[in-house]
Amino acid sequence: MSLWQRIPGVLLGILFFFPVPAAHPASLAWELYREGNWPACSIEAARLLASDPADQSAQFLLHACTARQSPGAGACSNLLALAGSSSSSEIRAHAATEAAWALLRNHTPRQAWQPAVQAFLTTNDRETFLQSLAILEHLHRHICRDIAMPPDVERQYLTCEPLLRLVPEALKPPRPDSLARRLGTTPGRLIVAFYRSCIRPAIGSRCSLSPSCSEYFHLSTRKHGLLGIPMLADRLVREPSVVLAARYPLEQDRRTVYHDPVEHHDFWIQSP
Amino acid sequence: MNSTRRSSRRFRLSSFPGGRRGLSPAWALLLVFTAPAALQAAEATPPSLAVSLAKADDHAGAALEFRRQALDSQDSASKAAFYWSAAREYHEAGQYEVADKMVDAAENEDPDLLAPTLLLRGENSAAIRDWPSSAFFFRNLLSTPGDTNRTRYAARSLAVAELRRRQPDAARQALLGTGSDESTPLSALDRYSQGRDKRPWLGGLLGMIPGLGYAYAGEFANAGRSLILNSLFIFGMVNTADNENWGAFAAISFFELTWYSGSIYGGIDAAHRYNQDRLETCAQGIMNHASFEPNYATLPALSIQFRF
Repeated sequence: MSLWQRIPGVLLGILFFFPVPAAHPASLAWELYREGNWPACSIEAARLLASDPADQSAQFLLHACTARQSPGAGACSNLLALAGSSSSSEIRAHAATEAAWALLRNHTPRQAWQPAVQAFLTTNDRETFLQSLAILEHLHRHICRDIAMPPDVERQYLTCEPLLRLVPEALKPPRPDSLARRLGTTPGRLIVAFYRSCIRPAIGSRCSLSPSCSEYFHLSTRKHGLLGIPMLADRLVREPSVVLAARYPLEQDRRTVYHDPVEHHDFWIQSP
Repeated sequence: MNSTRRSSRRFRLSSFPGGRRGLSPAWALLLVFTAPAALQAAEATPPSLAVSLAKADDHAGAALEFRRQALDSQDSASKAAFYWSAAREYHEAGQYEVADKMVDAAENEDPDLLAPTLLLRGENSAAIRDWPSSAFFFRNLLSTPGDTNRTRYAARSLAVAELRRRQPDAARQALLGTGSDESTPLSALDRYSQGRDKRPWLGGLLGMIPGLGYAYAGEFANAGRSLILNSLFIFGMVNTADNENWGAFAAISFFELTWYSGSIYGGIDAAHRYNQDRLETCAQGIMNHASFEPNYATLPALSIQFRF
């Protein structure tokens, strides 16, 4: 046998013993999903769907990203349909978790109960499990107190409850604001709402800074409560000097404004 | 002689794939196994797309394309280089958490990529104002053997991190340890050491006299505006109280309280801003326009150019 006839056999042997692991085409989309980069993830998922319209993983990613960006009824129903019909149990669990999350954000939290339970019971993925556990805990404590858990679910839930401390903040549903926080932020919210609905339409947008003074007040009261009031007064006093200094110019609505965010004036409050 | 030539000719034509007898089954099988990978490699996004996006300031888009290329690459060194490039672009896009994740991926693929990963880790830590970590990474980079330009850049970055940790002596040591001429950064550091920070608590205290807190930090225009506004509203309060117009008095008092508390807050904030500006000026003086730029033309081989 000649040398050229031996080469393919040897190469095939090498290929057999050392298969090169090709990157899974959906892995970049999944990485983006895990990072919470919804716009990029939805583009990747659409790219995957263009090459294979039956790819359920890509379908899930696209629906999940759509729901994360605008949790409307359509996005929720797409996810619920996928949670019921997908051939992969893991995609069903992922879709159920995302549907529960979207329903929570869509102000129909009681409907999130069933998909959250489904995901909690069926997933094998660590992050999906922790997220469904966090959603279930949130619903159980704050929203669906009157709904009795089936005994098997309750048993598993009680066993897993200590794991809640492992759930990253990004996976937890937003907690309702405390009374102190609401008291701190409500005056600011009301003043900004009054200004925006009654005064600004008459005088127009006059602020030369970005964010505008009303937005600055809104952000500072959200962040620091009543401290937002002196922060706004300081902003109004400083505004002409910031414009004169022209340090961080921005183009906004075809006019030049100057960047002056809350972070430039509260860094010393946050620093230890 | 003739027979030897004939045999050699037969070897070339019949055994080589695509020879006179057509493709042998073994070669055909090998082609079946390797063709998809070859096609995938051929279809892979060309580096120019990522580079074009980076040049067009779409850093997040460029980072995504570099990630795609890293996933498509087969050898670890190329993967590491593409992940590093993605990290650099995420850094430029202000997505420091993902940038760190990409540096981790680059380091996992190629542990020999130590210096570039230390450089980006230092930059990422500095961007999120984690000065102790930034100092740690740049100190490690400084101790890694490398060319003079990289050493100078690492020393200056370390000096800035130490300065922001309020340790100007450590910053000076970092600059003196390079062995190069760092007279401009050192003079910036000298100017900073000769100046004095404003005391924010004193600014707040002086702010109780409207406008004085701003004046303490050298913001005289703001001081004047604060004084005028407070004076007007205090006058309004006194006037409405004199006229027993208590409704107007309550409204004006609310606004005056806002201006007055703003004067105190502004006094503290102005002092902090003054100190921050001093620090920024010094940090810029130390860096003295030093920067680095990856040369994407050499990818998948990683090459970084330092500019001074």
